[in-house]
Amino acid sequence: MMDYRTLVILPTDSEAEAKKTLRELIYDHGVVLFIVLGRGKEDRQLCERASLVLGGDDSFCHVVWARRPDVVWTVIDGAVEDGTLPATPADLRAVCLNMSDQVQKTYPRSEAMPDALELITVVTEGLA
Amino acid sequence: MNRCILTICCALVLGGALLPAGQVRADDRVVTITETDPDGGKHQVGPGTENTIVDINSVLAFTIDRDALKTAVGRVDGIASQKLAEQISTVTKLQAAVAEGFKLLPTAGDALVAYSLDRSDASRRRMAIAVAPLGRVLRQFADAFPADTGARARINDTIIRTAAGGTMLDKYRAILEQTAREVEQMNRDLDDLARREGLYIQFGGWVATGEGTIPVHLTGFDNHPNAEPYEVTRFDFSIDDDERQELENYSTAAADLRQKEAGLLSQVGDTVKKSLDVTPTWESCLKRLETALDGLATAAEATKVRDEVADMRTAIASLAAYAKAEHDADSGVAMLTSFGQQFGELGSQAAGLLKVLEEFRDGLPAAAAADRAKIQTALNDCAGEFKDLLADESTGLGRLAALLDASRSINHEALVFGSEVLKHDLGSVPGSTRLALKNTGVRADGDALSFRLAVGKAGGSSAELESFDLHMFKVAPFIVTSPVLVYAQPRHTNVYQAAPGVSMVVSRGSRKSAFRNRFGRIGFGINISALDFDNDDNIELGFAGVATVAADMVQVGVGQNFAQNRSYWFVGVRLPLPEGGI
Repeated sequence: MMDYRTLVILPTDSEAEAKKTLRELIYDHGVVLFIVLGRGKEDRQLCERASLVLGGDDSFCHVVWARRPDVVWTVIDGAVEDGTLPATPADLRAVCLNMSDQVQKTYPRSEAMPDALELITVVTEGLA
Repeated sequence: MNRCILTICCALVLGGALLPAGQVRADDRVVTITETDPDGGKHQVGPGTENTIVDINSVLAFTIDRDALKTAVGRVDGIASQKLAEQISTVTKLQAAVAEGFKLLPTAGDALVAYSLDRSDASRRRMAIAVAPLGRVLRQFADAFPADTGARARINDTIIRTAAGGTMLDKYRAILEQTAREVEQMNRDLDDLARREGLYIQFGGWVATGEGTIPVHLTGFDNHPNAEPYEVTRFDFSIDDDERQELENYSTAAADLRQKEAGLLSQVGDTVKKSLDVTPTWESCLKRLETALDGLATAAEATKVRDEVADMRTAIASLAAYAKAEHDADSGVAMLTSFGQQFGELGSQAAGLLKVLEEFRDGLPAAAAADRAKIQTALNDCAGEFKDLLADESTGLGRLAALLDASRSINHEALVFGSEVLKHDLGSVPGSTRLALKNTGVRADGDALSFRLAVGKAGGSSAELESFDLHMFKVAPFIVTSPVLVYAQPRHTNVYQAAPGVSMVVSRGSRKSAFRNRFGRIGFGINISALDFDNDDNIELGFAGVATVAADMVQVGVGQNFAQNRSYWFVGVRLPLPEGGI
């Protein structure tokens, strides 16, 4: 089950709205972002897990579910600007951006889904 | 003078070390010691502190840090298996990480609560600074527990359980608590593995006194019996039989000196010379060497040695003659300076003679093994005689040597755990023990304690983890009463009158410096002297305030001769004198 206190689901019916929302999250909110990429079953599971684990009244991060990663990838890639991201999000399951909008860690689809300890660890590292 | 005595000591003791070097590491102490002194004061002593001296009547409480112990065992090569060493390393790192996490938690918690109430940039920055270090801690956990392990699953379950309605702070705390439980289990597994590998821990102690070195009983670590309880007298208001004899010798010497009517320096000089006279020992020593050389007269090298011995004898005779000669009463400083120089030259000559002798011995052909042995025996006997002289504090030289050689040395090579010392599994080492020093038997200032912690493997080798020495002195304030030869000058006169006296002073010791406890110890108190200012052979008691230095060997005071109603000042010297006067 999703915990909507922390979760932000980007719209899929409006590319502009999705990009705008993500830009605001990245540039205006100053929080750690854990961005789940894709709309598959595992992606949904990861969203549920991340929103649950990273939620709370004192949470300092947002879980962003980008169900159409290809649409917002330019926003993410453009924000990072350090060449650490691949050209397309096809092989990525998730990416964590730290408080400075840099890539804290990427999670390839070839690897296991990050578990609770990994999730809470990476966002905490993202505060540094 | 001191330097020449040291030269002779070094030459004759043939390189014996005065102070042992404790082998202790600077980091991760396993054993810590808290001393409770006779007044109930508590002091950290031993490794990791500047205090290497304990009060001679104290109680020592030892605390064994089991985690640090395991770390130390893991660092020793060749005892634990690689698997055990790795496990110890992992547990050690995780323990440190858990401890750091719990330490960070309060600050991080406050910052998170503040951030939940105020989402301003400033609040967010403060929160980030406070919480970010936890990320480093959590990463260590994530790396230590791989995804497919039970421990990882249990930590994840804990997070999920806490997550429903919980805050980030709740989750951090839950992770730390669960990880701590996992580390505890790893620790138990580690203990089992160590047991299966036959590892054991031993901790033992020894006390080194004038009687030798014996083990002490550390409850829980050995089956040694306690020694007969012995409390070193702290408030000593009387003099014993030896000191009574010393006082009588001072009395005789004072009578002799009074007849000479010499100046202060001359009187003190005569006293010091008499006290430090080592001529009989030199004579005996040289005779031994000459006897050893008998039968080797044809060898040119032997002639060289004989010449050295003859020079030595001449130097001693010259010194003895100088010491016995009458000197101008006002030339005390010059006389003492000259005497000191001659004494120093004698020391250098002794060192030279020993070197020539050793060269001669080593140059003898293999066939002359018996001759070599003869010379070596003579050398050993000679060294033994001087050692005895230096060790005998009833002689002036011995007392000076005791002051300079401040602490008893311990032969660490000879400290071996006997069968009475228990072998503990790594997981069942007692966390503490204590030692009441009164249970270590008869002991005196400067005596030493040595402790060793070691790891061993059944049927295999063993290795030392920590070792350290402590020295015992009277440190807490104490009172000492001792005889002294005073040179008193009545007010408004130029006359110094020697007289026997007794000083009772309050003093205290240092926890840092043995030398200070010997040579640098000062005391304050009262002095009573048997004066005779009117030279009518009737004793007049003088009462004075006194300050002492060098463990009461040198004293200065101001007092009043009530019978004569005259005040006086005095200097006093406490150097043992032979019977028969000066």
